[in-house]
Amino acid sequence: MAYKVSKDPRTDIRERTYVPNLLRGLGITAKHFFRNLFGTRDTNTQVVDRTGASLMTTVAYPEEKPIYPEGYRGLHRLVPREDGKPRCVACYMCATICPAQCIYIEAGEYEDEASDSEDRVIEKYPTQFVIDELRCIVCGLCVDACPKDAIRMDTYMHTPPEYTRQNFVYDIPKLLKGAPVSHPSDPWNKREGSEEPHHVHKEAHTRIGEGLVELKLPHGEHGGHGKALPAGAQAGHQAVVTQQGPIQVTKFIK
Amino acid sequence: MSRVLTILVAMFTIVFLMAGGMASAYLVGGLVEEHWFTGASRLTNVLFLVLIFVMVIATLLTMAERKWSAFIQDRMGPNRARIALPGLKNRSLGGLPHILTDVLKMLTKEDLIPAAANRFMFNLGPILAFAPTFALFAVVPAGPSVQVFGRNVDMVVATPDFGALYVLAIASLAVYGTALAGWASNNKFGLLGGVRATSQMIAYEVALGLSLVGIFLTFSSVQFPAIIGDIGNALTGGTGQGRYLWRTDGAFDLGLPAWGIFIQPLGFLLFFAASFAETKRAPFDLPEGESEIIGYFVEYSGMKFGLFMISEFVEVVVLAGVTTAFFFGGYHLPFGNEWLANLPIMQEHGWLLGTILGTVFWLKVLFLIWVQLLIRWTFPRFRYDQIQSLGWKILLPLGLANVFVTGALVLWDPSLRALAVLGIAEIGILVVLTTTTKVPAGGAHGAHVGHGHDHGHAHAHGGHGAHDLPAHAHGVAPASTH
Amino acid sequence: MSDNDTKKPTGDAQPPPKGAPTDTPAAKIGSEPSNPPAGAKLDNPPAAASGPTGTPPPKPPSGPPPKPAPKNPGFITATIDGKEVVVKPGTNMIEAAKAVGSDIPYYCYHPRLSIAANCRICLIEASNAPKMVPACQTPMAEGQVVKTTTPKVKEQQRAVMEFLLLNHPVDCSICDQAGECKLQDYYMKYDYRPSRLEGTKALKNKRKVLGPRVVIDQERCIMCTRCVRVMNEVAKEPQLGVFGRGSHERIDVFPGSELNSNYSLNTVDVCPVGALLSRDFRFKARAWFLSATPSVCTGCSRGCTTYVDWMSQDSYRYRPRENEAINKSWMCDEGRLTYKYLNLGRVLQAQVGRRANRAGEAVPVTTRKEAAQAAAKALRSVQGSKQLAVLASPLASNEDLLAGLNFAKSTLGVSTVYVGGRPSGAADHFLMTADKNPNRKGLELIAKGLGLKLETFDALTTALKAGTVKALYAIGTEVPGNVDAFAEAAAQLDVFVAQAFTESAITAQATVLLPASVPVEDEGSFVQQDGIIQRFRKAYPPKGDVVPGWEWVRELTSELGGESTWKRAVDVWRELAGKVAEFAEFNWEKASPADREKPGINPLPAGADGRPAGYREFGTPRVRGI
Repeated sequence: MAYKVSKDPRTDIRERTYVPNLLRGLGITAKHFFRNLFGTRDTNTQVVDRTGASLMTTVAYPEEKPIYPEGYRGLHRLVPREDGKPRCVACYMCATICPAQCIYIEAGEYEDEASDSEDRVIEKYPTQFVIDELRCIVCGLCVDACPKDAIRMDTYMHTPPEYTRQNFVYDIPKLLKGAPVSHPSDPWNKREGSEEPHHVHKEAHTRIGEGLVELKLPHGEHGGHGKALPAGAQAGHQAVVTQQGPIQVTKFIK
Repeated sequence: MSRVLTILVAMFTIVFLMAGGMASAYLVGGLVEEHWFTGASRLTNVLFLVLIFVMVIATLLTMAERKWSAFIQDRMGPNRARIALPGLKNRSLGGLPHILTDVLKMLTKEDLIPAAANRFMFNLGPILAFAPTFALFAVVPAGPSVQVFGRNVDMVVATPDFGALYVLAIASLAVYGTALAGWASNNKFGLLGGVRATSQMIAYEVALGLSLVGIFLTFSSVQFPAIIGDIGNALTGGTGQGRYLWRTDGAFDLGLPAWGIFIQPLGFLLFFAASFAETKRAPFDLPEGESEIIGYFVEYSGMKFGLFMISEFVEVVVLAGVTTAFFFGGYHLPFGNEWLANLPIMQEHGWLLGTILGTVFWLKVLFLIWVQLLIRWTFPRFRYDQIQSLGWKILLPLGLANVFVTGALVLWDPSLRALAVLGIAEIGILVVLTTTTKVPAGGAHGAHVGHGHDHGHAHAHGGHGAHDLPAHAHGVAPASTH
Repeated sequence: MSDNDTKKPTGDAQPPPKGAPTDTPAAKIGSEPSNPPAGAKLDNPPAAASGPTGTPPPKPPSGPPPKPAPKNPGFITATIDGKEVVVKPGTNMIEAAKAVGSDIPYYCYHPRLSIAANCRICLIEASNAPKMVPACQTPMAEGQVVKTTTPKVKEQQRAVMEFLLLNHPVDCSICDQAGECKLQDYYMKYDYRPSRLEGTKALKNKRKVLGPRVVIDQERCIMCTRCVRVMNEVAKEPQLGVFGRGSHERIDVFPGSELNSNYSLNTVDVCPVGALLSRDFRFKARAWFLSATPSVCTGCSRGCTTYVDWMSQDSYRYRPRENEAINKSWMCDEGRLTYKYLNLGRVLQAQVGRRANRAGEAVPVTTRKEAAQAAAKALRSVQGSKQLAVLASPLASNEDLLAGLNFAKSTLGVSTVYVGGRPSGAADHFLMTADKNPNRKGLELIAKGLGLKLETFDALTTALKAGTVKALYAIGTEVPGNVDAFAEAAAQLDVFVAQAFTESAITAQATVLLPASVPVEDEGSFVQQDGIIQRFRKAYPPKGDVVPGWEWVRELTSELGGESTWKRAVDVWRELAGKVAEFAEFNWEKASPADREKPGINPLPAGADGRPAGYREFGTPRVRGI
């Protein structure tokens, strides 16, 4: 049988006669009603920061768009290189990790010494890179898995609606967008071609002491040592000269 | 600030429209009395009161319910429907275009009839649910009887001798519609909803009738005109709710009018609760039970469902009108009533007085509608056994007690002042109880509020709603108001 | 490609029936390595069950130690990681440690190659040596106590890994070896630390084409010289050498020559890292997607034991599987590349009516039932007639041939069978034979067992020309002669019912074409040229409307009023193998290697339809990148 609220000894006359508390409840709702009726709604998309008499928490979507938080996982994009081709090397890491199995890749091989653009030192590239956005669960594991920073979800876009399922299958032309990205560790920043250089420069670990001695000097002798310095300011200390010019050395912090 | 102005302008527009409606009702009534035959104004009243006022308000209520509930719940409410006209294109117009879209939707939806349903009964259901609610309003006066163009115009459709009994009788008829709809659908949920609706409505008929007996005793009549009463003038005092229990002397009358709410507050509560149950709206919406059984109209679609829905809103309007007539003085002003009626201009142009008082009536109706919607969006739903025990175990005994107390006090003091004192005391107790918080449990145990064995309240047990004053005094005295 | 040497020999669990030698030196082809590792073949030594509780023999006192008496005469008894091990004399420490479950890492060591001992990761502590000794090179000695897990050994292993990774480019993302790479595995197991290298790595050739089938990435190479030794000792074609020194040491072909040996892909197999890569398999699939199924190479009558690596419904490569009796750990390049006919140019639809007469038209859909009925109707008209000939291909499995030839004899009533098959080709000095058909021996045995006379293919062409043959039932449409000439002759036939798996001019002339499965799509057995019977397993279900050849025979038999209840290939074997005396000893079920050696992740058939992601609307999945 139902629990008798009215027999609870903790209640008093207000609860047991119902009516006063009913009226109080009506007062609360009436207060909300009038505040929202007469108050002008603050249209700040950050709802918690809203002020004013109106208590409404609505964000009227198409007219007012909330700003997505940092790290929001939006539509995928393939990151382009400086020459406009995708950074992707078709390693299948994303396809392997994808729990929804929505990524399909076919790998191809660049012709040997095809051009003098970045792909002169790249062997493998995706001839097909397809993401089924309907199957995608937007978990972002592909971005984490990518060893080449080639797939990102930083478009801050939803998948736009389409009329057919096939249109949700994104291929390279649809995925390749955004600003090009280049890292110092990219192979085209390290070498001229994929064959052995004619005059091999000695690599760092064969030059005993070179490039390492001055790094061990106490910090006081180098003002601002350790901070981000303009490239070349301390090139002798922090960079190693190769035939391609100075390359910043990234010290691995253990 | 502009929003406040917008809202105020919209409110005054509504008042203005209602005044215009009442004025034309009186003027047209006077014209047809003059040119057609005596009593012809009753026919135009059907047009103006029932078809225009009740219907328009009920239609607007479909929108108002959604918009007001949104405000109560800190939402914006429907605002996406737009009218593709220059200047209106990007304005939500308070959601009003949604009414049009709703109507269009209702009219154009496929009208499905279950294969195994009884087609005749199935079609009869919505009609039987819809018609009685409209007919209810026939006996409610929306304005005073005044002289227009030298003819007497009553702002009421019918004034039968049995008056209020007509309301009770016709309200009972609505149960056929729901019961038929539920049965004819040939659907288990529909039948369950119909049965629930029937038993709930019948249970509350009793309380509904009993709650009004006090009013009948007080005003010694069951007729609406007599209960609402006439406005007094220099020679005679008013009658019914048009008179004052106490009033100041002077040209401008100020005092306590003999409204039902003051002399029958308990009756009002009982009546309001019982009639709320009759309308089958939350918190008494068990027959619908949207989350469990959908209800007696589960198989209805299109405009047939629309009839059920609109009849619910018509019931809201009618209930507000009847409550106004019984407990809020009908079309009477709370003060300045006699002063206004005896102004020369009002004596000369009766339709002007009728317009003003009629607008007052509709404003009261609007307020009560708002209260009903507020209740509907505030209170959680009852369980079914709670509904029945509320009807039979609480409302019925209280109604009986109210009848006896009222009868005794009317006998003891025919001027109704004793009754008014009791009523005002009841209201006062309610106000005090509402505005105070629970007493902390006795000084020594002040810190142990949550304890279950709390002796401080052991002697405060009374019946539900039993107004034993000593207990209240005990409860009120140490309480801090806020 | 993964190392066969890391796998336990899981070949035919049963010794070959002809009593082929399993581990006799005479069975080995090529010269013995200078320091032959005999492997930890325990050959049931008397005290093998003494268990790890056995105490090491007492240490001899100082002075010139007198030779202690061996605990187990004829064997070496020693202790590895506290466990007693009894091995044959000459067994090296790696094999001995494997026998007691201690893993000693190695790169350059290979059981079938000479010992180089240049990778230095197998250094362990032995009781009779002052310094750590290379486990691959050192034979076990009597009473020796070997420790493989001391901190000194572990630090040595970690240091060696660090040295090996010093110039390794770590471009695993584009390396085909990733997933089956010893450098990856040992890094995770023995190093697992970030690099301490500051500065650049040595730059070498990233993709130098060594020959028609092999490409090298010299940066990835760890200079284990396994490939050089394979070419020298196994293929006996010394085409690879080590050039330069220090950080710039590299593997390369001698100037002016190229790596064109027929055994060059074995260097890819033995390469522990991704330096040597197959140009055929390059970038086709990642290793972890592939599943491996035990199979048999169908390139020639040698019948090398293989794994077929496959994904979805496509085969990607053959890898040699250990079989001491046939191919050891090796395989020829030509045989490796024969996997392609499993994927491409297949007959996938049954057809009724000559396709050659309707070139360019859409192929009408013919169900298997309709095709079987059409074939039965055509054959019924020539049943028992002299005009009917049967062509059997030595590419078909024993089960298909048993079923087909038995059907030909008992139902069709023929007494001679013409032998088709691929034309002969070149043989070489090691594994490849001139006969390019995997089951000629099996065909001969079955024909003998069933009492059928075998005729040459030339006899069939003569008969066709003479017009004495007007109907032909072909089990396999490969012919040793000129394909177009035979197709022309076949065009004159009234009835030509063909079970085929590869499309050709001949299949276009078939009046009823029945798509038959290739070995990887069904299980069965082959008889290799020396009479060794080998099982192969089913990797994936047949493509399209394809069913095994014996199943077509079952359909034809029942359409012609016979009785046949075969459900699996083994049912055919059980019913008919008794007629062949040579098959009596072969236990079909027990000769079965594991069904699937290494399951791939195989992420592609996500939906129930099995189509890869992104191709739900495209119909059947495409042949991927082949």
